Amino acid sequence: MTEVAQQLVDGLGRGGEYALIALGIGLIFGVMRMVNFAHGELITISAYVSYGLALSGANWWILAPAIVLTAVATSVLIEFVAFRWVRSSTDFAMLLTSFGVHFVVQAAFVMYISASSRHFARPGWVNSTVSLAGIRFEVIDLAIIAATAVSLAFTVWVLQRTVYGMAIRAAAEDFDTARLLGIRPNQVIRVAFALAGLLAGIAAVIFLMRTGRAAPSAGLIPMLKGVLAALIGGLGRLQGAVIGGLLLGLVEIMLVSYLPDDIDGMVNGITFVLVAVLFIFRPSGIFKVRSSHRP
Amino acid sequence: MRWSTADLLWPRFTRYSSSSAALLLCLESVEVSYGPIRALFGISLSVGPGETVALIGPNGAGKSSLLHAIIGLRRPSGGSIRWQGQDITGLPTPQRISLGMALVPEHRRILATLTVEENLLVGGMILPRRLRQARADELMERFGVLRRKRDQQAGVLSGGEAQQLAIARALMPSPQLLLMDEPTLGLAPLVATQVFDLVDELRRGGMTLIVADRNVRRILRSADSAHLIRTGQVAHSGSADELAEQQDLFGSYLGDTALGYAAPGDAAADEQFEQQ
Repeated sequence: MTEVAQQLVDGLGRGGEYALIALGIGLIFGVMRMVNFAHGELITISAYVSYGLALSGANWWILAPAIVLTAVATSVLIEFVAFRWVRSSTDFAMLLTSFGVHFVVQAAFVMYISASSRHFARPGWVNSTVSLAGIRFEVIDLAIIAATAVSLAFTVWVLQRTVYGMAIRAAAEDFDTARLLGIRPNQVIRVAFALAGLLAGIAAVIFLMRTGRAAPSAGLIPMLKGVLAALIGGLGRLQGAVIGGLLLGLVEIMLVSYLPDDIDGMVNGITFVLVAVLFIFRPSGIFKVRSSHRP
Repeated sequence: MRWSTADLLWPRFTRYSSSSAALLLCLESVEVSYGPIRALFGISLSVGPGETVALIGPNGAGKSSLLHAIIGLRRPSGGSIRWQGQDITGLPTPQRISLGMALVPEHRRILATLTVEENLLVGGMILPRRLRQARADELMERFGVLRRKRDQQAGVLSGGEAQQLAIARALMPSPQLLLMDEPTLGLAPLVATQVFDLVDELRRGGMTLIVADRNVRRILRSADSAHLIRTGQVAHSGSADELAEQQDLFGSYLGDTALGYAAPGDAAADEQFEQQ
């Protein structure tokens, strides 16, 4: 019982991180009809900004907001510099552009900083544990669950209660109709990228608190897991992205816990196989996906 | 506060004086192409303030393409469009909405996953925040069914209810020019009659309207002038009364006497339409 509760918290902690990334990928897919493989670069760039600030003596009270701000600004900048100009092209061109951004950012860090990782101090409390109802939990897992819950609640509030959120949902459903209502494509896409950047920034804070490491490929695995979570939930369905992320986190933790030690390294491979099996029965993921097109 | 037509059309943020003698909209030799296929061949027409213009013609004649060119969904490949004397040919749709145009699109294009109220609020994106909710409340008061279903997802509305929502949503920013593309398409005759009554109401309130509809007899009754569109060209223009009298045009261009295309003077068909 104790073990299951610990695994549940651990799984939700990891899943919450995936959910934040998947939600950003889902938001951008909703308005652009594009899987943004450059989304992980928000984490990579934030990681190097953290490293730079940490070198100059900044503590995590400065690092955390700096990471979030960096991710938001980078997300909006990538949309303006790269995606805006190919928006009316084919889906393939959009996909190639997102890969292009990913490789350019990665190569820039390799060329101008180093191919090897740079480490910086993690918060002191990151490995502490706390006892609740006789069960010991890692503080970071509880903090992640709380941060994820608050972030998701904020995202739901923005999407449901603000007119910009409604505009994002309208554009995700039918961009031509959204335009007919006076919604400006550049504006709504910029808001979606900013919101996706905010969520990626929060995920980056969590990720960097755990790892304390900046590397050119730092954002690759979180991005892939985010894409996978978004696909599991049904690409473009925002609640699907959240559920997909949480499920993915739980499955990974269960696999780590119950697989024999000698095949522990197969967790990612087995996870992908399980997702492939899901797609045999639910080709669109857990939630049905509507079709639409880009502005 | 009781709702009135004047409130619906010209609320507090009225931008336009109908006493202006200048033309509101002027199209000169507008051409529209879909890839190699040309849909409009040099259409010219003008619309004065407060005028109701009917666009009639068979399926595929180019009525929707013309409305899309006016609202900016389809950029003309030739010709020009002027709005109160200003060239807006290359202006994107959202900016035209800000100028004071709105379109009730064919098939309504309701945002099915948004609630009725959210559809209205999104329709009022260009309004200042403090006016947006007030305007939505005002329109929900006018269209009672929308008030009753304000929190329901718009995808569950019936055809008639969805059409009311589409019209109310287009009225949210209080447009000076309302374009309506087949507003009675797929509606039961009784509901279609209600839509035409609304067109009459908007017309009486002084709104400028361009309406494309297949119920030729009925739309000519509501219009001041009409343009018969055929194969992407204006085949005939005139006052609605004048066109209604030229019964031979309907045989030549519209090709049948089915309910929707019956000649305006066809009393039996008129009666059948009203009764259904």
